[in-house]
Amino acid sequence: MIFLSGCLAGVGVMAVSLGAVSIPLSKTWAILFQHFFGAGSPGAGDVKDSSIILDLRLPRVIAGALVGAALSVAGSVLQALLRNPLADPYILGISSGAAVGAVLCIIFGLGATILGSYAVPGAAFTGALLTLLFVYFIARVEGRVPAQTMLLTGVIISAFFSAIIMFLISVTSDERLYSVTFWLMGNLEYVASQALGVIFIYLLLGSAVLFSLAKDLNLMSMGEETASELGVEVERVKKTAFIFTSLITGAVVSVSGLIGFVGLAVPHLTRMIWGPDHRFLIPASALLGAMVLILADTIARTVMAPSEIPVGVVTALGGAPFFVYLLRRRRLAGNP
Amino acid sequence: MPAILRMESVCFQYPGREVFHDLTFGLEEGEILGLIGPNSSGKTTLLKLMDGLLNPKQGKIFLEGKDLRKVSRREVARKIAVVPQEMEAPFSFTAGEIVLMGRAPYMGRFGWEKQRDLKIAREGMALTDIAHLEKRPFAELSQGEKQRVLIARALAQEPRVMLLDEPTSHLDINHQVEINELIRSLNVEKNLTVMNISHDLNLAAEYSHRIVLLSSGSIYAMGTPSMVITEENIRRVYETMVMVEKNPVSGAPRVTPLAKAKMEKAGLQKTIHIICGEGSGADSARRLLLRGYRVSLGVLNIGDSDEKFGKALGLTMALEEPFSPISERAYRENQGLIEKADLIIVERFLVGYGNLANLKAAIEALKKGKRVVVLENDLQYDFTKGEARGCYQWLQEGGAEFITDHSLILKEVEKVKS
Repeated sequence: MIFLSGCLAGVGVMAVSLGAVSIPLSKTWAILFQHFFGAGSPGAGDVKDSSIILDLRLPRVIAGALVGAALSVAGSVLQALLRNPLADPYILGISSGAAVGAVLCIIFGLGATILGSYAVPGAAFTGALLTLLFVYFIARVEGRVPAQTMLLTGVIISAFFSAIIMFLISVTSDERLYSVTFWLMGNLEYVASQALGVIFIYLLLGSAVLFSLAKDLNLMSMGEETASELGVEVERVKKTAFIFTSLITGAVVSVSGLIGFVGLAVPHLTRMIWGPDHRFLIPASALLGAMVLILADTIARTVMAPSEIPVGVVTALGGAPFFVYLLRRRRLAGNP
Repeated sequence: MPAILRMESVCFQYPGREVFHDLTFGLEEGEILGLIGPNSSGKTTLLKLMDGLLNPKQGKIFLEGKDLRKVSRREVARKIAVVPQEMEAPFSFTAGEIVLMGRAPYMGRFGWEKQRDLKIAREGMALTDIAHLEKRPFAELSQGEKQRVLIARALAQEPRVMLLDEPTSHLDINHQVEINELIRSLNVEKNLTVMNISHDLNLAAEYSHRIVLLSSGSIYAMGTPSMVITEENIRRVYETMVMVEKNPVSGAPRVTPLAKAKMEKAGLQKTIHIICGEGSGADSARRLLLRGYRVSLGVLNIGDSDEKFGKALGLTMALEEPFSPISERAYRENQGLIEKADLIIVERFLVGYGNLANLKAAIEALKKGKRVVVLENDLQYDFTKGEARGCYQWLQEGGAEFITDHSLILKEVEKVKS
């Protein structure tokens, strides 16, 4: 875990130094050190570099880390909860709810009102929360939420919201269409640094709660009956996990849009390296997910510099082949 | 003995299907209870109710006198361990990790397994003979190995009660016996109370103190193995013909299934009389019955294995008292059966003065123009000082069909016009 944290810091610093304007690693270190510890003294003419690093890149790298970590934690938990290796944070429809909120907000131009830059994330988060309640109450039968029902409800709600989004796109004027598409593809460009604190708190709280369920999730992945036989209060764990994965997913999706494949592939990658024990899997996939998304975003920023491609495109382009590889490998190993 | 786990007037239904109506029964402390019954008689449902995985619609279940619904799952898991029929693990947990999960009800929310937990898990693995599988992924194990892992996990729970759902159904005979012996020794040494669902009536009879026979959601019979496992009960509940004897070694009842007699479907309308003894006739009789022929046997001494077979299948037989020579009465009875038969088969049996009359009856039949098929008999042990040999010569000269092998019997039977 310490090793992983070290890796994450290294990747972070490297990502900060890379970009349209390349700043040497040593200088990046110096600037960061000076900023956080007040030590050292960067030479003259560094005001510009310092500004690029501290005001532009650092918040973005932090955003990447938070989003990647949140998606990966949510993915790990949902894969165990639903006993479905193809589950990802979006499978329960939370993201599509957020998307509807965000798209509505963009189309009606609420960003120009007093809400300003908070408008889209706010609308998206509201959409996510409403979807959470919606799915939960549809799937609930006599005080229980059967995993299969929840899964199906999520899939259906996603399909329904996708249709709404398609409809909205089809009636949207061209200049707003660009914003809508860019949001849907997922990117970290517009994450306001003020929002980072809020997301961080959500992530910390949510992950802590989910981590406290780690041992129960190990048992839940063997099936709800087995878990119950071994002393897990299954319904309580399911509800808690459902609510907190939704909250952290909703929180990050509302600022970053739909970044795919991280929440699906990172948990698998982590399991392949360190095994399936959730007491280790949850923190490890948070760190690994953070790293993966920082890397993906660095690629998104730099391959076609100075113009950018959405990071969601990078994760999908890299993630899909990786996942195919995983599937093939598992089949060859005789595991379905 | 007090009941450690007790159901009181429990009703339970799945949507649209009532399983139990007013079921009352208790698992007594320190016993090994065998739960038997045909498919869909409610055995697994009963097990799930007893562990609190399902809640009764009416009635209550008590664990050590406490209402099971008011006991936390954690507490239940420390008292009751369940060994399911099978379990799938979607992720690559190792066998050792799965066994350690049995310690979950003793661990804190954030805790890792302590030395003591590891020790208990390893003990369970040693007892179930899977110590060498510790690092192997559970998903890659064979069914039998998986089942032993699940039993080891149940042992790691250090339960007072163990509920097993056909724990040995995937195991070879060696591990079947080993697991049952293990359960017996835990029962003796740790006073573990056991309920064991089984489709293997013989293993259930062998290892259970008490047996409950379930039939479509109610208790058909309950008591010691020899009280419950009777030909009558099994025939009624399983709708199968069986023979129940005492296992000569253990004294427990031993069940042998018999092929279902389809005499009512006697489409071929032929009657075959088999002269036999000491089990020589059962083989042919079974084959002929399965083909839909009517079969009669004679003369047999009561207690002879052919007689037991015929009795279990309800065949018509000419009988003689145990160990007695064939009397005039029995001889005539036999002749009556021969009279009605389309074909007589003389099986290969030992001949002594007691049953010499059976060969004479065959000669008699031949004289009356009956078709007689004789299995060649080298009479290695002739207890009649040559008289039996004489009879066989008679049969041969009189035109009986001699065959060397049972497989030829059906052919002979088909030749006969009814």
